[in-house]
Amino acid sequence: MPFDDDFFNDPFENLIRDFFRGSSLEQRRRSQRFIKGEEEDRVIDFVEDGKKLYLVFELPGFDEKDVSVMIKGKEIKIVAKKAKTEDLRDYLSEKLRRGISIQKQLPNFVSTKGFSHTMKNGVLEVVFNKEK
Amino acid sequence: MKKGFIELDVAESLQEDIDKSIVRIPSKIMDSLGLVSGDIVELKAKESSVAKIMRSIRQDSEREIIRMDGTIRSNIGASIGDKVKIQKVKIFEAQKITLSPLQEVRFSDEPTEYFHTKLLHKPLTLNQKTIIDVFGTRLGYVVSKIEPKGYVIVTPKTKIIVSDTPYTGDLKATGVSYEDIGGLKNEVDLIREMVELPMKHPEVFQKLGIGAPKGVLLTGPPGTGKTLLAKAVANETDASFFSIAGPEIMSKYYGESEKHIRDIFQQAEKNAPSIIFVDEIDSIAPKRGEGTDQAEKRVVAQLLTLMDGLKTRGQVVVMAATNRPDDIDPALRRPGRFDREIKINPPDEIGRKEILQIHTRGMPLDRDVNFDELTYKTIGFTGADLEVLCKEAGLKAIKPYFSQLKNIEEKVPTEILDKIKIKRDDFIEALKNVEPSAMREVLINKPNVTWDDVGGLEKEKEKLRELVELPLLRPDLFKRAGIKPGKGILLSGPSGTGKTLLAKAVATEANANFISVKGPELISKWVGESEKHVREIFKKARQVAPTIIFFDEFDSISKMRGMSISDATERVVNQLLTELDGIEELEKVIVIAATNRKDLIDSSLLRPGRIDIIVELSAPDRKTREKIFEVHTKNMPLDKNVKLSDYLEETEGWTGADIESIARNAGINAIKRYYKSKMKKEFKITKEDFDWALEEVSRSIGKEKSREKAGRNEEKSKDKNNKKK
Repeated sequence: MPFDDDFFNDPFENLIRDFFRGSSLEQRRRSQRFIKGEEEDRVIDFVEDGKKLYLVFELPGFDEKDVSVMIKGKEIKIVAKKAKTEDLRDYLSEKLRRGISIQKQLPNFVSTKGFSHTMKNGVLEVVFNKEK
Repeated sequence: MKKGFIELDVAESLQEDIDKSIVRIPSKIMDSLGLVSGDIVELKAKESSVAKIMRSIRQDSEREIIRMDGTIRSNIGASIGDKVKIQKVKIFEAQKITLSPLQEVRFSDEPTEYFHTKLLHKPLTLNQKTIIDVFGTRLGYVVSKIEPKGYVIVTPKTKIIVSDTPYTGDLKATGVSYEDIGGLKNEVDLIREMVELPMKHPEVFQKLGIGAPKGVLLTGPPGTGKTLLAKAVANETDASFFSIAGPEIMSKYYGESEKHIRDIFQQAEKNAPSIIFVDEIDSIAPKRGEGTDQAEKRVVAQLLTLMDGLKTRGQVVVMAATNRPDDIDPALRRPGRFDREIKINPPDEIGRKEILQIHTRGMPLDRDVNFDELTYKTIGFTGADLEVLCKEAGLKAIKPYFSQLKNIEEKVPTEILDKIKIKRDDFIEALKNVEPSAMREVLINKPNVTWDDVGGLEKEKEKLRELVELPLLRPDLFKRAGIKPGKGILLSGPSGTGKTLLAKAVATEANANFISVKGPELISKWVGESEKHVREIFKKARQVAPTIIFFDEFDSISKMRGMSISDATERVVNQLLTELDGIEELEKVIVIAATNRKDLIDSSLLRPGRIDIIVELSAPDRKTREKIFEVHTKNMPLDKNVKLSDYLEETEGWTGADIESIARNAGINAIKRYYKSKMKKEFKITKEDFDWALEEVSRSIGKEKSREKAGRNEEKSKDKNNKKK
């Protein structure tokens, strides 16, 4: 089950792996495929940068008003659903109305207070502060 | 720094971003431009285009680079290392978009829906090239009509028209880009430095007063990507590309073949900068003076003078590929002609993963597909092998749908297409059919014997594990300890004690390529052939390392020198000696030899540095015998009255093979009884069966044992035991 995997690898483990295998972009990359409630897998990016952690989800077809982000404890839940589908191409409407929901455990070091999100052109970015 | 645009260096994209119209720049730069992930930016180099922006991974955060895939690079006319200007732009919702294919393509089903899902929220502009993945085939499309004009983004409301007529405008065809090459990062860098740099910045070389490099020779086993590399370089450098297919230039008229070559060089000079690529150069430039005919000699001579003649060549780089570098005329291999030789080896672990990712890019993969696992299972595979593996897995995945597809003759419904997923099992299944091409000649099916199938012999197992598995799996530990792992192991002991069985278990468990050499097979009646075989085996083993070479009946090829009648065996021993500890380093290759006549083996083979570890196997003790009984009766339906411990005393001095034969004989007896009873009773193997078998077997080996003592017919007894196995 991909869900059970620890989101972030143990930093020490990384160190060892990098040392022995040499670094490669792919290996150090922290992106994962996971999804609940929908067939497709999609890539989700985790970019750590200084004091912040960015979670980037690709949700093509949805707009800002279709997306809701919820945090419960250390879990993030994202629901994307189109309410109105009348004026869309009919072959897409069914899929977009059904929508997507993604659930994921957040790593321990993020602070769930004061997160913000932007949704631009089918890309949802959620920004967290790291806990000190 | 709030000026709205910024200049960054172009770098290659991450594997998973390919074909998604994504560029990645460091967070810091994004913040300074007021961008967030998903914003659309205009990219400006020679031409301009649009792409979606994302944050780079942390490793890039201090560098001023922008990562983009080959399609975007060709859209904006930039290559890796070039500067590109980035600017946030206003974007409109697309009303209507027409896509024209770059090649003839026909769909059985209306593709609009599929295309629309793939294109959702992709930024587009007129004449932009975009790649759509249709189940593993990357189809190139060009945006031929757009409404409104300018930069647009596809929304669920957009009307998409997929045209059938290929795009006819002026456009470079989609070629191979650097991202399409997996696992050859160093090689790509080397070639770029040699080929791309002099073409782009000739002034640097003029300033330094050195001539630009003239040629690169790519060598390596077949299927490792030599031709692909040349194609990618040609595509990415914007140079004119001339290809000479080796045998093609030969003509039956006197002087014509040379003229062909001259013409190609002339054309290349006219269109400089250009790259001339000679595929299979060994076919047109073999060694002169080795029985080749006159025409060939002249072609070689022509090539030599063209490559380094009186006339300067200008910006023409010659790239050549071969998998037999030793067959090329040595005069070609000197600096000034081919300045550099790049050896392309079969990919390592990281390379294989990259290659797998490239070939599965467009495949709808199931969640259980794990690239690390596949990488681990494909040791010795070349790029071409991995490509076939992916295709094979795809075919396996389609199979169950075939019956459904046939019924509907006209078109494949999208619902079915959507359902097709390639699972882990498809890959595992495909692995059975695809084998590393470099190993074809020597490959054996991996025996299905695990450590658990070897009863007892704990000490020996432990020793083999630490000698064989450890160096192959964790070479880093040896590096840290500052020692080199042993090269060879000799399993010695009387027949039937499990030497071959141990080797089989090693082959299955060590996850290395396994080459099995049957001693007597090596000897050929032709002078020099036997040694050549040995050489070939070691060469193969090096190529596909990590490898275990297993010599069964080692004494047959390693007889003490100076004692045997035939010279051939002596030369084989000499060859083995040099292979095991010669100037050429033997890396990640381990030799396991099995023999029951250790005394016959040439002592210099057994000195430290060669086969220096000797594992002695003897007839099993009581405890081991119990284990062996357990292993062999594991799958037998035993009756309650069978007590295996009863037989341990009586089998004192018996070998594993003997004990196996008891179990087998007991089984046969039970079958006989069962068959005679017209299969009425429940099938069980009883104590009586075992008693009978014990008697039977002890009678047969009792005889042999005495014969062995007499020191005769050694081979015969072994033969018998082998048969029993």
